[in-house]
Amino acid sequence: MVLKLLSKERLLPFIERLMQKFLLVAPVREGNLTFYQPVKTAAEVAVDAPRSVVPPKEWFFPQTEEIYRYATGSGNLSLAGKVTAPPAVLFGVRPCDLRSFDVLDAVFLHEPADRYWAARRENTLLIGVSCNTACPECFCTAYGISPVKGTGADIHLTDIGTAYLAEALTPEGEEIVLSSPEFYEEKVAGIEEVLGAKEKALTEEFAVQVEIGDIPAKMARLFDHPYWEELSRRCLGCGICTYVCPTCHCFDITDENRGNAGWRLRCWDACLFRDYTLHTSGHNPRHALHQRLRNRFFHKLKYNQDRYGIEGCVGCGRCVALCPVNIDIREIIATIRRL
Amino acid sequence: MKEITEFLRREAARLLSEGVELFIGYGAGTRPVSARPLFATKLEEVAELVFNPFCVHNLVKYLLRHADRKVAVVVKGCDRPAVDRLVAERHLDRGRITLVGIPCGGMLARERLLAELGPRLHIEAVEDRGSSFTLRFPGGEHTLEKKKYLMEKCLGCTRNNPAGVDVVIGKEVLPVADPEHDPFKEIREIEALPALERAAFWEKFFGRCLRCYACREVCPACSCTECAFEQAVPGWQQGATWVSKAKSLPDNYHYHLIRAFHVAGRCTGCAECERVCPVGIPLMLINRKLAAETTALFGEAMDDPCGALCAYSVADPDEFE
Amino acid sequence: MSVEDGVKREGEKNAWEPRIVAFLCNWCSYAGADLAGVSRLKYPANVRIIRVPCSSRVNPQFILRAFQRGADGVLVAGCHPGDCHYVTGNYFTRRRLALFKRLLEFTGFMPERLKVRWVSAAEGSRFAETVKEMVEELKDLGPNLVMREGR
Repeated sequence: MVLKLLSKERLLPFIERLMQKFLLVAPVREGNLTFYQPVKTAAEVAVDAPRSVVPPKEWFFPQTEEIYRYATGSGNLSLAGKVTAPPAVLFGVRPCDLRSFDVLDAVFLHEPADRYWAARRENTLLIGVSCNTACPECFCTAYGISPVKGTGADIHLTDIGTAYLAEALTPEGEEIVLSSPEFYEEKVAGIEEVLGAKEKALTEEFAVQVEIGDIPAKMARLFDHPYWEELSRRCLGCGICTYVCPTCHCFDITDENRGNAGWRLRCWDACLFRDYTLHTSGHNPRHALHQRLRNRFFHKLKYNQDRYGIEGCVGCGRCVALCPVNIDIREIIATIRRL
Repeated sequence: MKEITEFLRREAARLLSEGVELFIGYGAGTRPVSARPLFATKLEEVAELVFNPFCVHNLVKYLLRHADRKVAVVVKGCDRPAVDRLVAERHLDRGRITLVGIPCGGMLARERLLAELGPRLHIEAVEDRGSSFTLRFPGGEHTLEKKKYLMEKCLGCTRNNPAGVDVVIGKEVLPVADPEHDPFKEIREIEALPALERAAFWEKFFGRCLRCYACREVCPACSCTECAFEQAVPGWQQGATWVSKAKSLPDNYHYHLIRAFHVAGRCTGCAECERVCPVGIPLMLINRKLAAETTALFGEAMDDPCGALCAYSVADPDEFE
Repeated sequence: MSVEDGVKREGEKNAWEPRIVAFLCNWCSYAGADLAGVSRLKYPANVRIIRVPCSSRVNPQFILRAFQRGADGVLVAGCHPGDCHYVTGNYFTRRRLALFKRLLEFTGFMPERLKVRWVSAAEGSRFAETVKEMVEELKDLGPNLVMREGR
């Protein structure tokens, strides 16, 4: 692990240097919303932007991805598969979203590995950034995530006032840091205390201190509990929680054609949609909304852990902030522990 | 507002003990300055009912899920027309519904409130002072001028005392509309743009659409049992649907234009669609524009309970030669 | 009507040609278009005709799909109000498309892209004139890019 500093004035030059070799995907502001997008100039990067609406997992797992396309004509068939994985830097990823990549690795790299995901993961350098402020809905620490630790990143930046602390956590990260003159070495006294104090201040901003305890085991007894039906009464059955969740990964495959040409697409799907488990026969094992809602929370809080050994939620707070009817996973966790 | 809440709880308890099977109202939310829909079936649950300027949700759509039961629902002035819409289109039996109307002093725009007062508010009480709200929190209070902090739909509201209800909670309140507010200002600005810039404006917003369908799910006018965009077909037939599950700008445009068109003449202006959108698409600009055009072209009268597009007049304006 | 006449213009060998999708009602406007052909009236070949039983069969989604799939303009033609074969169909068309046209314009389409016209079975020349007029207008505007699929 290499530890260096990056002064705030040198951040833009560093980003510009990266852009000479890589496609840079970074948080940008549009009005009062943040989106992760490829940027054309370093000035577009909003390094201290508030939590994005759509999580950066979208870079590795786009909402719509072409799997292949075909064209027919005069007895020929051309078929072109497509794996798009340009050398890229995904910049400004928060610790909660960094953890989400581990959760999704467990799904997508499980044999047989998803080559679309694998190729992008392989070709993308991750630069994480510690949070400077926490939203009231955040609760990453409940899952052992620290808002100031860059576990999973190649390079992690933490704002320590006058400069950024830059930790190169992988050989790829080290190579970049050691070859970029913007980084300098300086003994900063009491780094551990500084980070500790920052973490403490951030967690104090969480409105609810969530305790996970042994949720998966508790849930095993609650499948038929009327709680899910009561909770579903206000649920709209939209896809907001799913589409803003950093660990959600369900997808649908759809074929489109335009006469002699066509393509196959993979696109996000939401388990709350009515047709999610609709069979061709017309039978739907989850025809009622409460069955679908229950499935979602069982997946987040139990099945992911059972199947992959890693918790399905990262405490980013997006679903809590954006659910139009205040279905709150923190509240559900507390209720499950009580029931 | 404390008296309103107490009155509301008393009435809810009375209704539940007089044959109403489900009382739909508002309860406290788990986030600062928020409320949420609350469903009470037992007497002890009415103690959780509240009414305050964070009760923004339109509860009427939930009636569709309980059309076979005797239900009471809290309605603000902007929620009330949705009941007529659903009854006229024969989704609901008015006889099974008890409407609990609450004269409303306006709903606060949550984002603006948080921006002004910080994200960690703990409100103890709210007082409606007519042209302002006073929020009381531990250590002080804060008065917010309604003109600056109400939701946009409230600034143009002329119907904050719901009529034709079965129970009224509290006394009539003064109008909250700001006479200087022009709900068509932004619409006119868009109309004044050249077509290419207008397209760019909408492409920016429709390009963000996640197709979460929250706008459709929350809208009381979107009551079709099978939506045009929800044709459940096997994967190989996906090309036969109007839009695919894939997110693309043309498909997003198609969805929004047609949803607005299906709702045209039937939209009740509750603005829930715009509130719930996670990426901030200004849907009410389209809905308000179409509502105004519908009235200008075809008049106010509800010739057909299903809205202006299900009716015609031989005297309709004809611009088509 | 020759294909070449419609496609080439004076001095422009490979100029872009607008593509128009026309929804014509079986009883009036389709017959009118047929009369134009039978009468050997010349009109540009840029139009692709889809026959519908009545102009009110035209779902606004057909119009959007035409634009998505590359149409530069859409023409909807029906019987004159009062003369609908199904008595009241075109009254609905009139209302529906008056409103839809405004929606399209508000969201970025140029007004010339959707044309609605009443053409009776006897008005072959009116049909031909309508198509000529629309092609001229669209040539000035260029291709429609709003909602066009890019794949």
